[in-house]
Amino acid sequence: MTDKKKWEIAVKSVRGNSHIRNNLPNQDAFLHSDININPHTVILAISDGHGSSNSFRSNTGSEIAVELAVEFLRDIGNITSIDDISTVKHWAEEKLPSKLVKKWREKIDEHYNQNPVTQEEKIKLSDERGEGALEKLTGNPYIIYGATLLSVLITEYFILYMQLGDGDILCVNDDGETFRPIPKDSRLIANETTSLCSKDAWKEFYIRFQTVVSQPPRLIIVSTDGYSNSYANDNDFAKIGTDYLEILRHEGTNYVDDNLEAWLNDVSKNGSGDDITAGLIFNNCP
Amino acid sequence: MQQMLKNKQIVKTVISAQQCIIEDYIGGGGQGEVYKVNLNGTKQAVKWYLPNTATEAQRKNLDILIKRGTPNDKFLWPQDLVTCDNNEGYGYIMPLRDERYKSIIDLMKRRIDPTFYSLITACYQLTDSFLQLHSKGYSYRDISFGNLFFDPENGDILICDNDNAGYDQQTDCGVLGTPSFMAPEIVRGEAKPGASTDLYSLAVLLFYMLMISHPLDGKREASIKCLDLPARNKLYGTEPLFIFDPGDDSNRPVPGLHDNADIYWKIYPQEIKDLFTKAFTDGLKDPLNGRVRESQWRQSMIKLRDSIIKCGDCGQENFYDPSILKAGHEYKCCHCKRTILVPPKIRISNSTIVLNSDTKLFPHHAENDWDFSKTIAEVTRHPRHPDIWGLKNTSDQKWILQKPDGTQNEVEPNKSAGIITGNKINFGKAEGEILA
Repeated sequence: MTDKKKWEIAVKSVRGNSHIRNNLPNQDAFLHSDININPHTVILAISDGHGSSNSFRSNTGSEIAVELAVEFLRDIGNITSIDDISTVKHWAEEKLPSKLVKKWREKIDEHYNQNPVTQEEKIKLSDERGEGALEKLTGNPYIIYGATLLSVLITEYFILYMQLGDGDILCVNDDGETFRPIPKDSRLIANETTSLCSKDAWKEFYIRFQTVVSQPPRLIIVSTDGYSNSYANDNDFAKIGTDYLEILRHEGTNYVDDNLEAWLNDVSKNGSGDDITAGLIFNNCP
Repeated sequence: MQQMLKNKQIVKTVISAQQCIIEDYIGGGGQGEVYKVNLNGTKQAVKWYLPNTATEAQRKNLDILIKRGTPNDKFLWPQDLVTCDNNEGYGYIMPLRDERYKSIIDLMKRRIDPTFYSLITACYQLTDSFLQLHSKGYSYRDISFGNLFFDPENGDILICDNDNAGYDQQTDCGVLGTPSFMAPEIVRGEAKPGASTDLYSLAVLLFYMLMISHPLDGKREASIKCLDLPARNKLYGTEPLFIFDPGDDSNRPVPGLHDNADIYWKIYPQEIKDLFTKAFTDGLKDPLNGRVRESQWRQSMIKLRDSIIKCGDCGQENFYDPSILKAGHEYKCCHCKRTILVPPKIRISNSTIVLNSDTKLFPHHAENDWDFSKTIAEVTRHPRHPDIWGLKNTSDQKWILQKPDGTQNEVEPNKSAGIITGNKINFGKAEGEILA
């Protein structure tokens, strides 16, 4: 490490064994802001494509989702006056979800029109779901691209957490206290999730706005559900917070960045078998 | 969670000199954080200000609000200042909101589904509370839908974040409001918040509650791709345009983004739509004379609630609108689209109340008494002849019933008058006539 920056970030995504076996690409996607340009503002977006036979383009859906999330959050992050943070909070809560979903759907429409379903995709879908499966999707073609979305925006004045669907955001304080800024959605059980392709998806977003008063969390972890599904229960999963905090303190972000992919591969292989994407945002100021 | 105050920390009330124990973080925003606290065994709430908002002006404002007291029981009003030994700054203590009260965001996201009756009751209580607030010399200054909560079961409201209310324009705590709720002249920097700008904000909030959409958010808002502050200032300040402006359709609701506005605008009667149109045409341009006053809104909300008709087929609430019949149309249910048989009505002075199977009449229907804790009449079914409906006298005074043939009877308390077209009921201070 050459500079002592305010925030550091390590993000990796691994393809799960189940997708390797079925010759499916990694359905997760991630994107983050360039902290070399602005170390005081961080944006991280992660998305989990559904990967089901109906959602055969969900890897594209998740890529588009993270691009749009970063685009929208960058505009919010450009707000530099502390007097405007109430405006930011209200706008994020009232407008951001509907505008983001609308834009995602426009991008999906564009992609779908420019890339009609191929014969290969049709055959694969029919084999897995039966004849007529594609016709059933014409009512809601967004299902083909369905994905979740989790994001964090950190500025000098506030932190904005946003989540649609499954996955986890954990915050870890200096003393190791680990908490969820967005509580788990009790409706999301047994691999059911809300999604960008859901009807009225904007209503399913959870937004949490936190003003930064003195010390923000020391570490924020954002991950797709392949990670938490690899643990027996929530409490066991939450321990990764203190584990990562210790490693980051002792070994630094570069070390974590170098090893994260291997660690996630191990977790997936021994756990859920699903794709796993995990991002760690570490505050390295004393 | 990163909090300014920690759980189990002690804060002290200034005037009553009592200790409160912080129990839980409830939420936070641009001004401060709110906590659940324990004050001698009772649960209350404390708002603790961020360092940049814990100003001397805010503190002076709070002193006045605490001293003068709440306008009515719908406001979660500051009761005392609180300070902390280990922490610079201050906050205030107020009653804790019960969990049965939900927010407008819950309404927007369909987490709750109140009846029109409950929703309009909430609107009535809001307008009445504003009337009380203004009549006592206060202005609210920062209304938005983060500040209003209501019980979806019965429409009871609670108004929060009252620390920015001002008394008689004596204080300036620096708050301008929430942009999409601020009067255009404030957005443009031409005026400070006060009672007349409250009227604009009140109109926006009422529109939001009934249409579940913002009155200025149409095509123009849809074209704002992201959080663009100059564009928002134009939308809400320099070039505001009502989405249903009768003379300019350039800002109509956009399908897919503003569907609620289109759906609900069609459901409500013409009279309330005319009032909203005035609020967002004249009201945009003429702060002094163009805005709808609290008393007008209050009366309209009662009238709107009295006009609810339930569809006999699906039970959906609709609204009686004489202009529909005048135009030669039939009443169609907004939900199942079947023709609705309009029940009898009673006209008392200038009010017409639809007599559904569960309709109640309150004291204000007969006189200037806005007590909703008791009724004066209730629609009831004949115990032995279920096809026969009556209006039961639930007051403590006898009525005089005059039938169409001129004969008169007395209707003692707990007895009923038949709901028959042409029957006239003298309630004491007013007379009503049953209409077909």
